[in-house]
Amino acid sequence: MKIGEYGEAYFQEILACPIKFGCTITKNKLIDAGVEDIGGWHAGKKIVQGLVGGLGEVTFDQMKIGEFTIATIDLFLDKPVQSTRESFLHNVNGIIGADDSDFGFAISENLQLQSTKHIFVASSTSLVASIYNGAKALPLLVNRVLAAGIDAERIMWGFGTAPVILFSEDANKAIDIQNFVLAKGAIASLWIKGTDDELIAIAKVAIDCGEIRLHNILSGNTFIGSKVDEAAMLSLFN
Amino acid sequence: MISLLEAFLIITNNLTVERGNKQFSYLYLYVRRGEKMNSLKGYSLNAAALEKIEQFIIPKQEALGVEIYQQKNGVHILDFGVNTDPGWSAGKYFTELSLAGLGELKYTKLKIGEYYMPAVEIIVDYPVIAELSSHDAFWYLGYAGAKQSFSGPVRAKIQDAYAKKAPYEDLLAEKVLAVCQISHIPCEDWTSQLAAEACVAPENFYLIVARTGTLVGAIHIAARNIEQTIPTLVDKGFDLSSIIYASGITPVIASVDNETEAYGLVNDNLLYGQETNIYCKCADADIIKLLDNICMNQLGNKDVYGIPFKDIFASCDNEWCNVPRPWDAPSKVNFFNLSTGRTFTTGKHHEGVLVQGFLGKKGGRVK
Repeated sequence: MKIGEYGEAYFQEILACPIKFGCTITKNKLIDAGVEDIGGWHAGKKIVQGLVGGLGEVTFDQMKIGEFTIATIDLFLDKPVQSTRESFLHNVNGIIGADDSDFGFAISENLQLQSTKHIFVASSTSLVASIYNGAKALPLLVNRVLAAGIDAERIMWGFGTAPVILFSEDANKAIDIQNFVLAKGAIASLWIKGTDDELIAIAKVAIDCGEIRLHNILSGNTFIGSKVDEAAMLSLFN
Repeated sequence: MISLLEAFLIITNNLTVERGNKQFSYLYLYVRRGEKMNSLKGYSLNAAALEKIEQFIIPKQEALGVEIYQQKNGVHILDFGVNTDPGWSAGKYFTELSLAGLGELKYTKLKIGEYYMPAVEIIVDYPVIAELSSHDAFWYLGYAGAKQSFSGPVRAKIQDAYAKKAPYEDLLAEKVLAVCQISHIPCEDWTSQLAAEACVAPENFYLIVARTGTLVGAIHIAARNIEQTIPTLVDKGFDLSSIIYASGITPVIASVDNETEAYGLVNDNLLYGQETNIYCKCADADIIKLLDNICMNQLGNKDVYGIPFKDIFASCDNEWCNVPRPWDAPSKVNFFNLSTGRTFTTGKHHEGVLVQGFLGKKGGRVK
């Protein structure tokens, strides 16, 4: 399956009308999706859809954090291992995306990248970067489960959600906040064909994700590691 | 030539159609009950569903993880989860095909207890037609002693008992789509029989199948919120012509491989977690008289409310025909009366059953 090829239609939608997505086509095939131009929700969603190769559904939703109702980026992935390994977390010299795609994504504070591909570029402080980083919760869990020795073909489907929070125009602070949101406020779920014991062992090991859930399709049991820390999340809203 | 049926429709409806170099008169969609039906004039549920297959399913079958092939008799099989394991996108298409293009499924999440769970949100136009003529699984055709229900727009052509309650027919559909949740692919003898019952050649019969113990199966049953509510309103004598729009939301608490376990869990989603919105035009009194008499926590269900459906079903020998009708009732229904501006709500969710199903017997937080 050519994941890059499947994803290209989503990137092409931005190219067809960049102004609608808050994007600008610049020199050297770079597309400014949040460096000097503003990017936006729809650009972030299309980029995430493109990076998962359209293998599943990507939506925006909400999550209650104290008295706030915050936008979330939600992924419902059909082939989470493939989209994670081959594209979403596949990073070559800072350019994220599938090898077989003519499109990629990069988080950078400037538009100086060199590539033969079309690269969508967003700064760390941009909405597009925040959406991408929130969407990482599920792919990061996929990597964790693979590292624990679960075969790729036993990992069936995934669901992930994370608040999209923007606070700072300082790149370092923005990165810290995005990592904090993943660690305290994100939820990532995988449906796995396994044994209860192996899923329990994985759930016990903490990762930087608010809450991880491993659903055993064979036993019907769900094992949950860690927990969304609403109080910590609230501390962001000073 | 035209068939006797078409001749009848020509006489009764006075519209024209070209067949070869000749022109005949008939209504593609036969108007049975006046203006409501006229609003769907020219729309074939079967044609719409098959167009969606051509446009969205066939070109993406590898990405969706579905298999499409023809049996030797010519019947088209769309395997969405019998010998395949497709996921969220396939579940969305499976449901939308079952609604014959009149509905849309969107994924969202619901907080139940302390857990955000995936959920399906359904919006449906022409809800009475979409559900009673297509989405409801009320076409029964057994084979080798097994009784099996089918849904899908084929029912608008077959005209089973519930389809007859909708102001719509798709009698002239030359190609039809049936939908079935089943643990195996029906054999050719059976599919030939299905095509014959639908009065189409086998090569014009499309059958989309999935097991209940798959993500597609779980999604599709969760999406049966409006589908569950409208027949309940039919049973209570509610005037269906007063229903204008509908929407619904249901959690997808679990997907489990075992068909018996899955069957229980997916029905728990509906009995204890679904919420349907009915937008209608009627007298408030017509709604008020239903309010204590349509939901799972009512209908004299005091002794079964709160019991997981797997156990309820087991008490009925795992046969739907043994399940008392009041035990297949929606969890929560809201009525928005467009005539008076008043809103009515009835029923309630049972978070305990849903969380229990989500966690499983031995699941939970690990330390």
